[in-house]
Amino acid sequence: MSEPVKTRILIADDDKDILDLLVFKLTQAGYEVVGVSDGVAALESIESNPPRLAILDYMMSGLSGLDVLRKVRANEETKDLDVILLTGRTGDSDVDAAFATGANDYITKPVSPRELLHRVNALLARGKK
Amino acid sequence: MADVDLLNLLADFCSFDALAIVVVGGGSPKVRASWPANHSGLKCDDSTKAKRNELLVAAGGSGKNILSAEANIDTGLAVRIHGSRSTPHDFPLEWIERAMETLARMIALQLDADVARRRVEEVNTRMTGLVDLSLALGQELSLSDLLHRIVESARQMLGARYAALGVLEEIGAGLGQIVTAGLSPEEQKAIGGLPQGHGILGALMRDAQAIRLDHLANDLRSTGYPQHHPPMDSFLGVPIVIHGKILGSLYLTDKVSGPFTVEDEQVAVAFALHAAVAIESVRLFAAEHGRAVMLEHVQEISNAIHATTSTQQALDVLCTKLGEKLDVDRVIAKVGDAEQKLLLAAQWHHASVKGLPEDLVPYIGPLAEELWRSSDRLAIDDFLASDAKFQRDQIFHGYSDARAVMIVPIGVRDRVIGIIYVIKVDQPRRWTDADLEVVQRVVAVIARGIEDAEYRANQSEHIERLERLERMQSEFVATVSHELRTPLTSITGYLELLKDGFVGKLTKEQQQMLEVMDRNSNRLQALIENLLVINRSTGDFTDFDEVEVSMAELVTSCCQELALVAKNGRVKLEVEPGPQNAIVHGVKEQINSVITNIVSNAIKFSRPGAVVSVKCALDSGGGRVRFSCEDHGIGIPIDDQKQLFDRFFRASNATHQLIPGTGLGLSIVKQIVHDHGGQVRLASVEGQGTTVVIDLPWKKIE
Repeated sequence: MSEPVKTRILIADDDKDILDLLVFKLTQAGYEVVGVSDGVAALESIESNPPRLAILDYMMSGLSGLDVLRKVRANEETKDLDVILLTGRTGDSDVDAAFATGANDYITKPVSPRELLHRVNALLARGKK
Repeated sequence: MADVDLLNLLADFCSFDALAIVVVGGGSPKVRASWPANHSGLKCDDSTKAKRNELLVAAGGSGKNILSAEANIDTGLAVRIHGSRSTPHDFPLEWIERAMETLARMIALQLDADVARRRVEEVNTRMTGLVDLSLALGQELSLSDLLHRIVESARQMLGARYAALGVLEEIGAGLGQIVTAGLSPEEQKAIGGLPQGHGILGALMRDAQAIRLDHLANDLRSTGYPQHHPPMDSFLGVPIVIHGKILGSLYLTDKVSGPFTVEDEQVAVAFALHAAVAIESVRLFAAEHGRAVMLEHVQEISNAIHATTSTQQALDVLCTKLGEKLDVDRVIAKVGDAEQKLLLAAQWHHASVKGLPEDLVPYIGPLAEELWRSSDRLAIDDFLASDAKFQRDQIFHGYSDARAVMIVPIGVRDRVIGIIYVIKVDQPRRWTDADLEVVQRVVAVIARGIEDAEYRANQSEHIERLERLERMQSEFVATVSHELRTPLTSITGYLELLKDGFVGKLTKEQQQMLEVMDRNSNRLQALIENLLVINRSTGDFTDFDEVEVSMAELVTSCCQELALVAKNGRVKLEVEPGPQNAIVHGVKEQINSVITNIVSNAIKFSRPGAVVSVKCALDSGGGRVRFSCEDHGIGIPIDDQKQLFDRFFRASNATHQLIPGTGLGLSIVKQIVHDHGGQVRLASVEGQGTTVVIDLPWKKIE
């Protein structure tokens, strides 16, 4: 289904290659994608130019994905943002922390772009109902 | 009837004009009685006629026509009667002589009886005296008073002019104490201190035999007597002995009434025995009391030490308490490290002496080591006594006001960790066994305390380090997994895009090449996952506690961890954890590693798309829990199966297919399973798959 206004998605990852990869994939799928390289930029973008969904890498220097998520959920205006956390760590505690802080989903690296797209679509579709 | 009256009768009867009775025996002849002039007691000589003449003339007679008679008694006494008449006798001489003889015998017998009576009286007096003394000794008197009592009674009873009682020191060979009787205070003062053990006294102590001399100066062993002592002639000395041990000696000199007799010696021995008993019981009591007091001190000091919270505080308390309890002037304690360098020091000093500078001796010194090794301690009663002077400089460098010291090493098991000095300044001090024991016991308390503190510090340091290592390890694993996966993401991600045709159509060749890249990046991924999981589980185990392990839980968690690995290898993991009561008693970490190892092997050696079945079941009848893992992978050649559990062995097909592994895994599995009392079996067909079955003893929980 294509919309007259493209749904905005924010992706934050400090690895340029991965960022380009994911931006490419989701743009190809028809979304308006904003890509940033760190947590601070992510937060700024979310606040100034609110997306429908944010994909945040867990580990970034400065503000981590988890920190950004926390701030997003604490802010009245942005608390309902859908967030998917992305990470290479597989500790149980990381998963628990992610969901406890309010992530909607969690994907481990190496992430299959195809799968990510499915998850994004599913999440956005849920929201619509 | 008096002797004079008898003489009077005889004179009348025989017409004598003078008579004299002379008694011989036990000395020079003496006049017992004479008539008409009674010269009783006068020394005389009746050995010659001329002398007798003199004697009778002195008695008032003519000295002419002398007749004599004599009577002897067994005891060596002789009684002689001499009489003179101015004119010759007109009676037959034999009659007169017989009469005189009879009289002499009468007197002799009387004398004998007198002597016997005196003896009996004397013995009675002595018996009474000894009984009185015994009663007196039963009263509570100080040792000094007792000894004075004894020596004075002995002197009086034996009729000696002087008496003395010397007691040997308990440790050492000299006299420690002497009490005298018969000397005036001025004489006492002039003589001064203790006699040395020379001459007769020395012989007495050495030989432990009584010595009875009529003339002191004549004996070969004599070396004279102490300066300022009045001259002594007769001598009686007896050793004071109890239980075969010489405690001292009792001696009496100058018996007034004659030489000392055998009976005197026996009496002296009785006195000596009293003295021995008195001295010994006082010493025993003192020792017991001393011991009781010592134990009390030790208890008090120990309690005080246990209440402290640091080693320094403990040392301070130790020094203070010891100083007060032992009544000394200084206590210095030092504790050092393995290189004998000073770590801690404490000192206490009596208010009357100055404190010593802190840096007086900055190290423990070899003396401590020496003492500890020989299980010894050093006690010097007086540095100013002969050979001890050099020792002071050796022990204390530069510090010189110590007069007496006890030095005890502080050690634990086989090493010395410190030393303690207990010092008396300016005055010598006889260190008793009790003093030494107090110091040794409290030193042991401190040593134990220091050891415990060290041990606890070590322990907590050790535990901290282990915890740090564990944290570091899990951090490491988390970080490494992230680091490795990040570049992999780009590789697999872009590959996917290319393969899916999102960036243009691909030629057949291009597609094939992408396939290769895809396959290998998957392998890379599998390797990473595998490595991380194995690394965590077959490394050094830090926990060896045996606990109740739920196999169901363990199987579930292991497989969860390996889910990713399985997924990457496109292997399906089917898990049946089994019943909740399948409990095994053992080391959780180790059993975990066993399961992980087996399952990850199964996954590793499986082809993509295959299934790995992990099952856990309880065989309650057989008392065992069975864990099995079945894969449909490359299998293991028959020839290799036997050696599979050997260290560093890897099946030939595994090496051939370049599947990585150290070959250690299965040998460790076998070791752990056996340690837990279980069994491991493997069945495999090359090309079809492998099944591993592990049986472990079931811990039945009621």
